[in-house]
Amino acid sequence: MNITSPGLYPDIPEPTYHADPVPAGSFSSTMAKQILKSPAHLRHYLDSPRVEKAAFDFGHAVHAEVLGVGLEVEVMAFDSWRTKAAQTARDEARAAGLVPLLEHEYEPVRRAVEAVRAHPIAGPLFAGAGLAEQSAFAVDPDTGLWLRARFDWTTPGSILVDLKTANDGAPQAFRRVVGDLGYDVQDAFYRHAYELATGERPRGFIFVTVEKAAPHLVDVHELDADWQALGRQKMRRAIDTYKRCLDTGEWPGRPARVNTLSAPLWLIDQEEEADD
Amino acid sequence: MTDLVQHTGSTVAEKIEWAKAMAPAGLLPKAYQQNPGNLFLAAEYADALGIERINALTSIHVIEGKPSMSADLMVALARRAGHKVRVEVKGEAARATLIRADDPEFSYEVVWTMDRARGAGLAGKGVWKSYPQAMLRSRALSEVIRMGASEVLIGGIYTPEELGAKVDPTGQPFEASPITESAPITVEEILAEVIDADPTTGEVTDEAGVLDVPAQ
Repeated sequence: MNITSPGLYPDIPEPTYHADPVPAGSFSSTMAKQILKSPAHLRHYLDSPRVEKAAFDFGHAVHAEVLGVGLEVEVMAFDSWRTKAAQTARDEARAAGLVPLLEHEYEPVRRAVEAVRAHPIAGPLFAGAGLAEQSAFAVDPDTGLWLRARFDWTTPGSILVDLKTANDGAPQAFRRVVGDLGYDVQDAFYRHAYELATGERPRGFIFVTVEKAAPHLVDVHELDADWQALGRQKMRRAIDTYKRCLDTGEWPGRPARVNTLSAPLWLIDQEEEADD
Repeated sequence: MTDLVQHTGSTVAEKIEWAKAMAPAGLLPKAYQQNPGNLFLAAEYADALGIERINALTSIHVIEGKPSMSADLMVALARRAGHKVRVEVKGEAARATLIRADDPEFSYEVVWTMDRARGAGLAGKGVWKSYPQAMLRSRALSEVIRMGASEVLIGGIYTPEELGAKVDPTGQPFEASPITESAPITVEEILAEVIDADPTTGEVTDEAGVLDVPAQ
């Protein structure tokens, strides 16, 4: 399947999306997050085969169950992956595009999904009208590059929703994760791609987090205007850097120099408090 | 070129009154519509720069929290202070010259070429692609005034385009500039999208029958 017209596409299978159906190649928010580390990181990411780690599977499974689409979960009747038979079955399931989980691993998935469905905001949100796993393809007017994005959930009023499993979904904890994992870039990138694909700004972008451990608390988050602006700035830098790397064929790491390190403020504060 | 009229200034109360009276005007740039706070800020800038408020509304833009002004307003302010500003655009180059009133023997000169624009990652982007000469002119003027007469700019030392806003060929930021933010999403708004209200009673119903959502 080839995408040659910008727009929203509701029915693109996940593997097709990840394999990039744009003939000229397209830039995704995951690639943006990589290139912000360094162009060398993105080059490595693109050149390495996609590795499915066990840690991915819990998130994938919750996604699939809550959104009702995407990868299917295959619950395997083994106690662990230690035996050869278990490993073979697991690899076969993955090769078939399934998410293999052991029975005892599936139990927290089931409970996390129940928690999302029971939450007073997230429950009705995912049970109501809306489209799961819709893909957007668009051309960035500043660089002429194709962009792609895949929204977990799009409401009829164009609120884009991203469902994330988290170790800690409390606002203070999730705030750190947003910064560390570049979710602010994802926020900006998804809004930008949606606007370019449809000609209209999305109403907003919200994150729904569900904790991986019991009692699987569910929270709903939105970045404030300042953080959205910061995300836009980072997204712009990512797209422009990618364009430059494509044009020059160079994917640099960090400059070869000696860095002078200053102690972070929190460490200085800690030491000053210890002196008192 | 922007005309300048020395503004006499006014009291805080008068400015608040003015901001409130202007806010409902539908012809205002979006950043000022229904926003007396932004209008008040523009009035303060107008007074600080000694220009008509109406000029401030169209020539001063706050981009990502930083005030910016059009290159033409910068030129008008520099000339009002007695400095000479000249600009010449030829092919793919713009040369701007500034001679200060208090130091007429020396001239500040800035040249912007498309090579320089390419080096800065600007060439090939939207308005730079379509109107390269206008953009070169604007960059050369704003830079030479920053270099030789920054005191006339009073804080608004960059143009909207230099601060990253998307602009039209006259240097005006588009309405859909980064400064127009959407309001935060409320719980009521999310639930209104997914819960159907009974059209006769207005009672909120839950079709799935498994969720207990209180009526608003």
